[in-house]
Amino acid sequence: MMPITKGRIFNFRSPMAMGGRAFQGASFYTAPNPDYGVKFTYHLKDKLETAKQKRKSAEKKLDKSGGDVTYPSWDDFKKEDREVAPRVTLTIRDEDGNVVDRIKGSTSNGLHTAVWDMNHADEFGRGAIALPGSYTVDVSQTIDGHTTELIAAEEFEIEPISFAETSEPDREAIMAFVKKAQSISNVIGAASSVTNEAKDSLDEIKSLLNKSTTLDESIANDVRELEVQLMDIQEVFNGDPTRPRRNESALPGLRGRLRTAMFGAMGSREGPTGTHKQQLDIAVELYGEVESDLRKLVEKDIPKLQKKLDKAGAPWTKGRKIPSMDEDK
Amino acid sequence: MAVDSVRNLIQSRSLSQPANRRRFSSRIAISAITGLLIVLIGSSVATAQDSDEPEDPTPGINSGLLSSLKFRGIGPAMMSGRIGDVVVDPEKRSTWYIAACSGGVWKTTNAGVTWKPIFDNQGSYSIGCLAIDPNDRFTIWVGTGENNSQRSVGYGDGLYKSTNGGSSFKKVGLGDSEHIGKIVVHPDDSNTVYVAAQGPLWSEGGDRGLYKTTDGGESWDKILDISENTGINEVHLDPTNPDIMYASSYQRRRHTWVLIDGGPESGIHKSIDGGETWKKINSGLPGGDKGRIGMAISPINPEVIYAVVEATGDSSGFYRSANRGETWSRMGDYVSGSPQYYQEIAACPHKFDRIYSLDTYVQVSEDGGKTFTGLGEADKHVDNHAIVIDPDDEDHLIVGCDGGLYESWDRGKTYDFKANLPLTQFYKVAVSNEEPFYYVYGGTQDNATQGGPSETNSSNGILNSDWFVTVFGDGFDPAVDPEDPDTIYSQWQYGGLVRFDRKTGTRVDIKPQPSKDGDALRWNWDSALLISPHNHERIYYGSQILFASDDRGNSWTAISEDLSRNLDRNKLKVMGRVWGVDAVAKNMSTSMYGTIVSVSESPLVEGLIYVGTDDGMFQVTEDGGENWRAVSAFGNLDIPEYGYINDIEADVHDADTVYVAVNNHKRGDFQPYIVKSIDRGKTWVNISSDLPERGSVYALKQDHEKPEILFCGTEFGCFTTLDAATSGSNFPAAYRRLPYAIFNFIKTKTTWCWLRSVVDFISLMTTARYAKFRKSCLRKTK
Repeated sequence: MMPITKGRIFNFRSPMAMGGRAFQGASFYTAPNPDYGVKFTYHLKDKLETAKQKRKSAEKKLDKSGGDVTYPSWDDFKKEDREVAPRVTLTIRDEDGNVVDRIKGSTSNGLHTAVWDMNHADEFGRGAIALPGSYTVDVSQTIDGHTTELIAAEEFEIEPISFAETSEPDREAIMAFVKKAQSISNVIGAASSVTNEAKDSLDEIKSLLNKSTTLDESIANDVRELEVQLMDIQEVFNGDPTRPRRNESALPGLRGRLRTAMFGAMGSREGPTGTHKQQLDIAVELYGEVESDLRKLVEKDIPKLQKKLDKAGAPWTKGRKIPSMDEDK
Repeated sequence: MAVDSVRNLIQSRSLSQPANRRRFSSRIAISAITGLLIVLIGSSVATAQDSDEPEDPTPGINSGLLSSLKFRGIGPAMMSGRIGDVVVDPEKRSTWYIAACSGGVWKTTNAGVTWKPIFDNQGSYSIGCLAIDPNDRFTIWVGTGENNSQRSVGYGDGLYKSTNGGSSFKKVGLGDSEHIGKIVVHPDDSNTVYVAAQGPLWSEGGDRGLYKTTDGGESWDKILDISENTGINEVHLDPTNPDIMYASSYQRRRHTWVLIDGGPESGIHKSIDGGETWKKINSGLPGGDKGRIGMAISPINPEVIYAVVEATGDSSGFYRSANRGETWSRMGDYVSGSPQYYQEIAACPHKFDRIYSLDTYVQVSEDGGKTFTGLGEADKHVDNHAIVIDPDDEDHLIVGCDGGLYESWDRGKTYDFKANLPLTQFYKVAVSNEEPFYYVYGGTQDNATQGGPSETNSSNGILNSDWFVTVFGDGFDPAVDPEDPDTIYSQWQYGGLVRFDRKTGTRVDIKPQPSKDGDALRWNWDSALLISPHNHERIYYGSQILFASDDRGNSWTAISEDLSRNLDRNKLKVMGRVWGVDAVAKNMSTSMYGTIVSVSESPLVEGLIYVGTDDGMFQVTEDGGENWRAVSAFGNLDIPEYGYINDIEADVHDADTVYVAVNNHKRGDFQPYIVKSIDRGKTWVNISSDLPERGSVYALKQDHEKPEILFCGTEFGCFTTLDAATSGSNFPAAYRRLPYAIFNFIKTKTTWCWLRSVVDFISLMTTARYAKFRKSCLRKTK
């Protein structure tokens, strides 16, 4: 690893509304900036190859010389088929050793560069801007699930720069808000996915009902009842669709409010405003109001319906347990 | 008109063409200008260099004095503006004419290297379409009034003709058409011309239908008349037999609260006798209500006609006829993204069944309309309205869009942008309070909120690259913190609001959001924003509710309930009846109704705030929003009850006086209305009787030193009165039209009467003094 230059945190301007040539046509000349972030320059002595790559290069030599190729055993082929490509990973850690981000490195030998954009890994869609301070980078290889160190941790610094007299934002407070919003987003995202899965499973049951000749008609009523309940819950998540579809305004759903809070806060240098904080609180509040209904629906009512279907011997639908081979059961 | 020769000069200067100063001064002949201009000129002298032009010997305000004003266009052309039509000289193909939807007609004789505005002397700035006589390339026809039905379109005053390549124009009729869809000149007879008049958008009647002249425009016959609500969108002549004609009728109506972009009267019509008789040819087209229909005849096989048809529900689609329109086949579901705004197609003369469709992204079909794919918009502004296909080179295209003009030599793979057309359409502008050079910010139609210096220390002048975007989207009324010129509030569509930091180039989203259990917020496309004259960190912003923030927008408090009439717009009559929810494009591309569109706070009394809505409510609070007093009619005055309260100017010298501009153009009423109250809105007088009858009022601005001076910006000009302070019911204010530059300044302050490019107005309005005034107000309250 070559010495690492201090990373400079700053925001890009978009004076032409968009990056690149914006709307100026292809004849508009621009020269590129260097990649934004901390640049790591490192050397790998050996290249990493898959068993398949190794075999192929050996065969290539034999093809040239006209020698006999060794045909691998089926076990070797199975290994090839099940093999995971080797990886080189640059891992960025904060001062306490917590992993902040990972960057994929090249697996070939020689001199390489990699750039860290000084954002946290974007597990939730959008990474937070890393706090200024000391970080380390280490390089490891992963071969067939086994990770070993290639280059030991090297320390480096990142710090904000400004182009004019600007006050530094409270980056720790912004980070705290982003982390909080991300963990709320994790819950709401999960709950939202579960409602979508519940809808899919009800839809599947509905199409089953249309085809089935054996199921009791009353099940259709049960399904409809749950479906309407689910629609009401989805409106809390996504907002009223009825009015906007007819070009009238409606209150946003809790996901929209969460989005306002997250994108508002993370999209700016200054962090969350009072409005963003308030919208996050409202999202949490709305979720609290609907959570027990949602849980009851997906954890009790739908399974109950599914059991009813199991009992009735209805063909399998998603989310139900595997039917038994034993016809008596 | 002299005013317009100034304008010509400004634009030709901004295009780096040498200005003929002597001609400038000698052509100015403004008479009957009052002492007001002396004031203005007096203030301008400080900023303008001495004139090297000879003094006009005429006494009073004369051209010699005026010429020293040295008005400058300050751009920008970094992003241009909406272009609705482009035509190319069939012989000399480097000569092009372009129709700017809100910026007149421009001509280039060198394929876009330089441009000249050629229509500034005429009665309309909004242009719908152009045509070059195929028999005489110097005869140019101009149909005024943009032929789209958007929220914000200008209207025209008829048809114009030039017989000298655009050096001069003559108005030749259809004065009440307002929006002209298409002009076609007979291929063998220059005197025979067909004009498709869409007719008024906001009212019934007018010159609406298909018109024909056989005497070069001396007289017109309406040869296809559908109804008082339905005009003709397009007309096409069969290239092998010009007596065979096709026309699409277009029923549509827009008001402040509504769009209905179709009805039972839209459809396609055919004549085989040069327009004497017509029959409907809708066999195979959607059966229900139809909207806007764009058409093209295959130049390779004129048996084949294409039609892109807007219709109710999901029955819109692309149609093709192989028997000259007798029957139609549905090729697919393709229709442009917003037919009221696009919906024009062009058939390629090089390849049979290749059709271009103007759309958000230009679409092209290679199979007669079955499938469409994007042509390519790399490094280009989208939202396309015009295309020219080079008859000698299928790869050479010229495309006009919301961002200006682009030329491609490889059929859409790459484009050359014409970054020299200052056509940007500004809704409203704001100025900063800084030294040495103040900045101008303007919210534009689809070209972002842009800011740029009023002046630079570059010997090159003000460059496109001196301009920068604060926030993208459509922009509206920006505001600059009077104490911190690096803080610029900028809007985007429907209440979007950011606080832009010029130092870092970053922005913070500060749009007020609805509370948990309150009503859904209704934001106007162009929402009302104000920095309090008493506290530069306090801003007001309105949906149907007025919000106030004391921390530069970080958090908001609702300081009112719904201030609108809160009408159910879906129960209002349109074209004589209440329409169902499935009416064509019902309320698409339309602001919510019942929204705040203007706000003003008295600079003398903190908390005395006036609010105006799009449905004609005027509201007053004298205690910062604790209590509101609703004014639903301006006394017994003959002012439209539901007029759009376009602007409010709290008197800057008198604590109890307020001026209000009411705009009723979206009911087809173009009359100006300015009312005045000297008791905070309790009683009213109409002070607009002296203004010209045609031209709604958009903006008001009182002089900050002389209370009697009030400026108003209308659809067609800027006026001033010296009687504002003394005017009353028995003493109407007298107005004078101001010269071009002021006209544009006020235009920039108008809601949608756009300015072609921002014109420096320091000489006239003396921004520095204004800023000083604001500062002194601020100091008073601290």
